[in-house]
Amino acid sequence: MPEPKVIIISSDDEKFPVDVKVAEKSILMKKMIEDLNPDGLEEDFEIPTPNVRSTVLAKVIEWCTHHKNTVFPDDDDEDARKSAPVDEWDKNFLKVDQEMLYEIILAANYLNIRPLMDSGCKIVAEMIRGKSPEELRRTFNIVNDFSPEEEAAIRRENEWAEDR
Amino acid sequence: MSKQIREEKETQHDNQKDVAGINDLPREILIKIFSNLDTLELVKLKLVCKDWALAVSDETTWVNSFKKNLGTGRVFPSVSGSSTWMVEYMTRVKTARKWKKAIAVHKSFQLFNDEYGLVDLALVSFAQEKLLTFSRIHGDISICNVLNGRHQTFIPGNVQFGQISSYALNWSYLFIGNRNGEVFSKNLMTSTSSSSARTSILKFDVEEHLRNIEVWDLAISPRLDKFKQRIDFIAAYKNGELVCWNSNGKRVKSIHFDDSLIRIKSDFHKYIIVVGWKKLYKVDYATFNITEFNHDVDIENKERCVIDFDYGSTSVILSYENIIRCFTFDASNIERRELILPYNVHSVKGVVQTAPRTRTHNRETYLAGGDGLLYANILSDDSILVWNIRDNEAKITPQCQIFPSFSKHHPRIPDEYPVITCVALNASIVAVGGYNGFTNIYDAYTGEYLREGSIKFPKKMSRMYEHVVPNSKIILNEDSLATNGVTLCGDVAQYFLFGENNQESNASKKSKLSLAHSSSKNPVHQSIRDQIDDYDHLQETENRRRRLFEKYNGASFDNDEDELTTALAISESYHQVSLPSTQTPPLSSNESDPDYQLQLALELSKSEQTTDKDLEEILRLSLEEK
Repeated sequence: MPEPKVIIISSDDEKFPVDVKVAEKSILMKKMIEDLNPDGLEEDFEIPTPNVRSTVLAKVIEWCTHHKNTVFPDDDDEDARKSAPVDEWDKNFLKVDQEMLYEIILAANYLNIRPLMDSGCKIVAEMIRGKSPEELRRTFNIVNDFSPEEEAAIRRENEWAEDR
Repeated sequence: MSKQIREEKETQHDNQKDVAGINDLPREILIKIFSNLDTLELVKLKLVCKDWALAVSDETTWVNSFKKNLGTGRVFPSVSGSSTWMVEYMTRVKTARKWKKAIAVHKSFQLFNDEYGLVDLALVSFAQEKLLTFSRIHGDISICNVLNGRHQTFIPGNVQFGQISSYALNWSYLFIGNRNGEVFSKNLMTSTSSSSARTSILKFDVEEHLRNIEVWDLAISPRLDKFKQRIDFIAAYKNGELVCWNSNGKRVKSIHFDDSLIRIKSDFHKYIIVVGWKKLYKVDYATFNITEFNHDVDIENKERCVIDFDYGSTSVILSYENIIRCFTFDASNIERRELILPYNVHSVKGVVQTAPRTRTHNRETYLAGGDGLLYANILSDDSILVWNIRDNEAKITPQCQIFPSFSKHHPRIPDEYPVITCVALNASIVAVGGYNGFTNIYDAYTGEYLREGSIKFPKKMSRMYEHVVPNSKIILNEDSLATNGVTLCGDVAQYFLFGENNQESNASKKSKLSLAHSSSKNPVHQSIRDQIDDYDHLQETENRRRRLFEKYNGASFDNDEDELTTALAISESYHQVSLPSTQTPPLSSNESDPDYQLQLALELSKSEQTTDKDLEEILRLSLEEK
């Protein structure tokens, strides 16, 4: 008998059968599997993810599959997690358009996949680093919603910090 | 069911539309992203748009960014005393830079009258530049200038004190308890000469039944009640008697506990904290209501029991053997946190972070960092454990552990001697003392080694070269921005100041002047005005210096420069205590005339060995202008 699979269903009803080990990269799914199958998985188990599109889910599963044997630093050890540079594979994996990147981050947040979430956030932070506010608005397509007065007020507030 | 599906479809649709841009991410994710950035980057993010400004203003962003950049925890002590995180960050970085800078001032001096080189208590006021040391053997006190050891005065102990068993002091009183149950106060203001010593001693009113009961601990208010009514002196007796006096020596209150009183602490405002063999007692300072708690530590040897108190968060820290326990209480509750060390490691000493009184006696959670307070335990495995008394964690969580190793010049010590002799910490650093004055400075959060805090003693302090002498105390300036302190070791002391030129140094003042000049040639007038201001100050100092020269003429100095610096140091300390109006002595009636002042300044500048030509020029210019 083949090993039972976890079947993840995307918001647009696409089904992704994966190994338990892969699905367990998501703490949310891991908890679900454990809670609903206290004696271990005996048959295929469906998990719907109603707010993750199939294209995004495919990417997330690709990540989980690649990292199924990776041991990540302990969740509590935030220092280690924060200071670690982004994994080379992750860096390439996350070379996607901004929209996809945000959706992956959101999905990772929802599914509780902290290492993926951390990598995503670090990639975005990398995009922010070293840019002027104007450049940032252009990069992220943000409209400046400050009135000139408000902007001037913040600039004044910042001034003293900038010389140092 | 069908409705649910429809709803899901809708959210799904919304989702797809929603995730178009970065600002459609929930704020907590934005905060997470920002947390990866350097603290300085955060400032400019505020300018991008309102959403970002809000995310940047969120405390979590800062806590995370601080953690990433500085290694601080969720709660940490404030350096700036500001509620603005950016201000705290800048101040922190600036202060840390000063600690690390190569430029340092060290002054070593001998404490005369300290024949045994034993210091049991020391008080330092960096504002008034005073150092007071107390030795329990005879109850002697020495006072001197903390910057250079000048003006040493000696207040001898008194045979009346008997066998001293406990002691406490503030700047005006010494408080002594002895094995026979007697308690004395000694006025330090009136007892400078030996003839007046007897009259300055006050024997306290002690009940008959306490005779021959050993006094185990004493507490004295740092600021005595000027009406001499309030309780300013408290004694704890071996038999469980707690006695409170006012500064007239009149007994105000006695309380009996069915326990020996090992240690007492009081803020002389709200509480008196009493630690017994089994229990912890909180006595209300005004009403004497007693609340008691079991501390559940089997204290067998009171000397090995370390007890400290954080008045700001009303916490008692009790370290004994391998247990470190922290009790935090409010009106009715007591919260207990602990840290159990490995069975073969025990806590040797403990010390509360040095901080201004406003920080140690209050807690303002709105401050950036939540107004934490650090505590350090010296452990028997030759390490220092730093943790935060106010971090709100369920158990005591170490911030860092430091295993110090001293420079190769450090004297060789026998294996059975502990490596660490004393420790002091503030909101930025931990200073760790070894032997013969050696001191290292570490970052208080990462435990990273920053620098050596001490330099070699002059050869004439021979004891430091012939014997192994443990450091007795390190005292840091309580001002969290300051980077100075003093290390006491045997009969010598070493003052240190990092990252700044010594204020007293004549040379540095001159270079500062010329620097200021070269950097601001335009506009000339502004520059002239600045120079004149500076010169006025210099001239004022010169006047005082001259006057003080006469005053201290009898003193012998190594050389002229030494003499100069001393006089300057004296005048500086004088400057800090006196009012501005009395600073300039009325040397001549011409004093107030600005032209006269300028001329004097000119003359002065000529008389300097290395004349600053530019300065002279400017002064001449300004004279002409007038």
